[in-house]
Amino acid sequence: MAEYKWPEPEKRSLIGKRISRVDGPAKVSGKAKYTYDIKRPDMLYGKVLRSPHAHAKIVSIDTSAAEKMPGVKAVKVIQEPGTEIKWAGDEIVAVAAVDEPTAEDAIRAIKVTYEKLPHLVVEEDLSAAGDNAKPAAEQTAGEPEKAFGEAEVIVEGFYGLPVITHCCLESHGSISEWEGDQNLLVHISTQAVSNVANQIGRPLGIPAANVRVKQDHIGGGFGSKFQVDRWDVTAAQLSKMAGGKPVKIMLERDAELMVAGIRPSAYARVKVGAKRDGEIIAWQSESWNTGGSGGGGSPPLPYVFSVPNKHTQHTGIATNTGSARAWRAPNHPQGCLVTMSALEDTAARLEMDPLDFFLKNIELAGRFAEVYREEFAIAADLMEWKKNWHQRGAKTAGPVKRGLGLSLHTWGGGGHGSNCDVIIHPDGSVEVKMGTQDLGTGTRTAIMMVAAETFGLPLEAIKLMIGDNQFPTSGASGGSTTIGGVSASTRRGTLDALEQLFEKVAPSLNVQPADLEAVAGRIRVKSDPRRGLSWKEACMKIGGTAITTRGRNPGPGTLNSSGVGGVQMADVSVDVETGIVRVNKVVAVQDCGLIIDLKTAESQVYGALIMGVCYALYEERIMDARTGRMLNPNMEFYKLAGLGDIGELVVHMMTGKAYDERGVIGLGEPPVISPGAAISNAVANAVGVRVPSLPLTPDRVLAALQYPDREGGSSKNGGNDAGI
Amino acid sequence: MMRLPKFEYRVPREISEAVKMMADAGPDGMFVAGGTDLYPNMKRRQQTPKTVISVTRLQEMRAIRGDAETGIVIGPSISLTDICNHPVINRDYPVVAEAARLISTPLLRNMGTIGGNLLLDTRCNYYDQNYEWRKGINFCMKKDGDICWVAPSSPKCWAVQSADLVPVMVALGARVKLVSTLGERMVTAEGLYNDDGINYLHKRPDELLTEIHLPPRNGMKAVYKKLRRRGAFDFPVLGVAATLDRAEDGTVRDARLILGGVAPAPIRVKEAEGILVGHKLDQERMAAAAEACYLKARPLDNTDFLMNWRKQMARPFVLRALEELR
Amino acid sequence: MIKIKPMAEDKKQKAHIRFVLNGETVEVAFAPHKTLLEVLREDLNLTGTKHGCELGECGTCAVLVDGLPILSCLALGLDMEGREVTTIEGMAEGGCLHPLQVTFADLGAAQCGYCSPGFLLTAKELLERNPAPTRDEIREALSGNLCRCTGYIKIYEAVELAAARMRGEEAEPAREIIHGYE
Repeated sequence: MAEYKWPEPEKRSLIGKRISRVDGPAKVSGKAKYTYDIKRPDMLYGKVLRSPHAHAKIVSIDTSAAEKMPGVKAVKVIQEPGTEIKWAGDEIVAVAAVDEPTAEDAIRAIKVTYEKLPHLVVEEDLSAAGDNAKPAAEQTAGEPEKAFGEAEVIVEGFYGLPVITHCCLESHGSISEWEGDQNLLVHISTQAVSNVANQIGRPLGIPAANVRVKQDHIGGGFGSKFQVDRWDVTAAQLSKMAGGKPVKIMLERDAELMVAGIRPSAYARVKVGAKRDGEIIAWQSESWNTGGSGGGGSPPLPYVFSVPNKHTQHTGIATNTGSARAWRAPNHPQGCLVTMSALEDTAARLEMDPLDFFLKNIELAGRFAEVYREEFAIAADLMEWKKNWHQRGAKTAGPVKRGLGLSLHTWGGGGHGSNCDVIIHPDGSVEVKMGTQDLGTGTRTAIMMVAAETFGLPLEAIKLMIGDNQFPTSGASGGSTTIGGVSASTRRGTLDALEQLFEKVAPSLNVQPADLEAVAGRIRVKSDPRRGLSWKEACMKIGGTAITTRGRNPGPGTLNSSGVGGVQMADVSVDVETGIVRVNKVVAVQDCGLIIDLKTAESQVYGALIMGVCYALYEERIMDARTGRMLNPNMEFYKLAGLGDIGELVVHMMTGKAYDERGVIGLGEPPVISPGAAISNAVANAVGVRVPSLPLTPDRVLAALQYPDREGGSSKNGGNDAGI
Repeated sequence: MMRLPKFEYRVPREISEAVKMMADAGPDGMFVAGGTDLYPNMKRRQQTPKTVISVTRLQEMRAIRGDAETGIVIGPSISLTDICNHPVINRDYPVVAEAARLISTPLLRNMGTIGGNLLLDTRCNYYDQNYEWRKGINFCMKKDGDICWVAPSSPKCWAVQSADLVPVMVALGARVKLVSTLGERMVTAEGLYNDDGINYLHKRPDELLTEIHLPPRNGMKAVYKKLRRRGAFDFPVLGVAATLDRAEDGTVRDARLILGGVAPAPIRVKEAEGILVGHKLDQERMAAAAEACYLKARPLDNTDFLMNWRKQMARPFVLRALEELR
Repeated sequence: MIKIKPMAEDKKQKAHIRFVLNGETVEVAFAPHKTLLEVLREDLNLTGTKHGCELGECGTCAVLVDGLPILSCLALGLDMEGREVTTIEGMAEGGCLHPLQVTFADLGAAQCGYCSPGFLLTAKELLERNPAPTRDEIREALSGNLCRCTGYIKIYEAVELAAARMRGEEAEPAREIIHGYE
């Protein structure tokens, strides 16, 4: 049996190099097809009538006018009268028509009456949540009361970050069509090609085996496209009602922002106890958040640092808003912001350099303490930390103050379950088939690199097919699980295939299969590399039937593992007369075990940093307390940073033997965890006070400077109660 | 994808033809230039003209003539990009080019026109939403509804003037020519705007803005400062346009301070101007002028940021504008 | 000339215009209130131009009209009569990718790729009027295009590298690009 491991560093021709995305040319030429681009013959366009109220009961629905409209082919009531609606934007009725304008007219012709119910849409003030607040169990470790008694310094603070959305540029949606009344073809924008059939088959009452799912390219998911949505099921139902014609439902931008996923908020009152020398001994936090009408999980507190004595309590608040979905590193950015802010405040009280303070306590970070130590040294160098850091709020001339902040984070990222078929044809061509998807992260490229590496072939020699559930199942792309999963299944499958090829070839070279290796387009004898066959000649020995193997993860050998550490540092300038924050520079030093493609790995980190700058400075969902509506369901007021709003970004990936040995580990989530905390800490360092809540908008910064003792308080959420 | 409603589209080649078309179209007609304001509004059904008359192919409205000595006349159908790049404007009225460069994004400036910017619809969080959203809250008084969600007890609409060139034109003492089948008239920029979010222009819908006149520059210096969240895209949440004309000894002969983005119309702060005129610019006078502007700013909570912060920002922004002119 | 649709059977319902699209004259009939984005994607089946925010707030749908980048979601199809429109499908010339397309693909400026067509066409116009843009000039020119993934750093680098190559300089990316070996 093959030995399942990664090639030694000196034998790698592709792995660990900077390889360009294989689908780059398709994307830059407009040839890459996204679900939004799919147009099927006789396709109908679906539209959804959504609840205008945050909380209401449906009293009546009259679709008769819509049904009679020329061009309307199907009308489907999604939620019947009597149903309680828990957020504005929830789906009530859908129609399918010959074109979008007709569908839109039809939606407007539907009459729905509601009984409005009281709503709660903002949660920054816990005391206003009433019965919607659901306290979870308190957790205690060690002896927090005693420890606080022994603490020489106790620092208290309030920290928070609001709900943000995923705001995928390609909105959610799908096209469904029936072949007969038992077989469904679905084109869908999804992070989980292999999971769609089960999810959509069940509500439709057909076997998953009868559902064909396809997706070539996806315009962003970030955690919001794991599940089949109700509008996807509805599209399939409308299609059936319309005789099987394809029905396309893609969300409008406003719906994308209102109902297609949020990252839960987090607010916390924190107390930290420390010794004068900087040793952290006690933690207490009372936190709350909302993840919409359902749960949103709770942030891990304290984050990374296992403070020996702690007491935590979390309260989830049900609000009448769209539901939470996984948002890149679920719960970690929240836990990180709260924890690193509180710890940095503690360092500031102690008048300690936070770098020294964090390092002093780094053993509390457990398993990755050494990784963090190593990373901090590199980051400090790249940021010239020791030269540039000053005591919090140190007076400098002029209205623009500069400051530095830091943070650290962790994530799992173990490979998901993954299967692939590997075929070596007698003519030497190679196929790899896998029911996975490439979110733009470079999954295609990584799979091809692994296969090409194993076979000693150039990248182009691999024909890769993904994005179709006819291929072997592979896990959802989320939680940074993809790279570990697909690289391992591909490695195992290709190693097995290669072993079979060696068996076919060995006799002609008068050696044992184990004596062979595949290098530089040849199958050759390890001990005598001049003896061998070209790949093509070798494959001619296969005979009439291609070699086919199934690669799997999990499986034998250690190809991947879980758990990474990363640190980040931010350098900001703050105008204390206006409160305007500019990010000058962010340094990210990140570990992810063995790196397959250094280029796409770095891209992930750059992207994460920018997403981090977005949520640190710009992004927030703004809910209007009075109307219960989202005030910014558009990209004018749901603010994403442009390329002029980003400072200098420096990315350093940890590589080397110790990192290689852990195998492949995912990277999508970890670098997006720390930017909020690092930037918030840098702002505090610059201006001398903590700005309690993200995003660090100038109005919040100025409010913090003017009222340093006010808790949160500067949020725009809640909208108006202002008179004139 | 949001769709435009059905409408009839007409493309006149001459001003006389354009105003005739408008007269024929009646109250359901609207002029359009770049479309960057009207078409989003139409997609959201805030404006639903039955006839849309394009003024982008009116050659008469695409020229710039004159210079700093004589004053200049700007054709309103000139794109904002062309305004940014125009040599005479950059040489003689650089503040116009500078303010134009701060508008939205390059893509929108390639489409949007200077005339369109001057006539930009007033904006509000409760108004700039699609039809279903607004219907869900029973609309607002600016369109289809009765109340102002920003100030429920208010008898008037507080939608906010949000065009960067508006305070600049008022500060420069610009005048505009309005033409209809009934004749033509000149109106000062200051007189063009009305402090009401609904009827925000002293211009009849059938009147076409055909010329923008800037007076001779003399010794006047001008500056525009814009406040917004991002480096591009965003409408101003505060815009400060300031002009100064000073004698050789530094005494201020004339000053104008105009605030944009903090009320339904641009606010000319005569109190602040009075503080400056007849005196030399010193820190104290500038601070007093800034304070007067702060007192006059009336932002409400209908766009980005907390309104009291936007009001506060009048101080440093006016101060910085004056410092730049000093 | 490419005829996309026969002369409209129902002239009242459909507008009928002729314009130059990616170098070739086309005639197309469509509902008169359609935006250029809708005409391109639905009537001409050119889906390289992406739908993003619908209201001019993201830059995803940018195309070139008479050489200038504009937002196709806010332009009327009707207004294209007699004009020259370039979409991403027309950016490669003679089957050869434009230098910007090459660098965007190589450097990873296209991640999910959804915003790439808009960025590419906007950058193309920049390099035509300014062959040696500074980073500030790139920032300014591309400030109307949003990316969510987000590849801004790679986009800067890709524009700079393409510009250098178009100036005839022997510029190579700062770091190696390997597609495997022969």
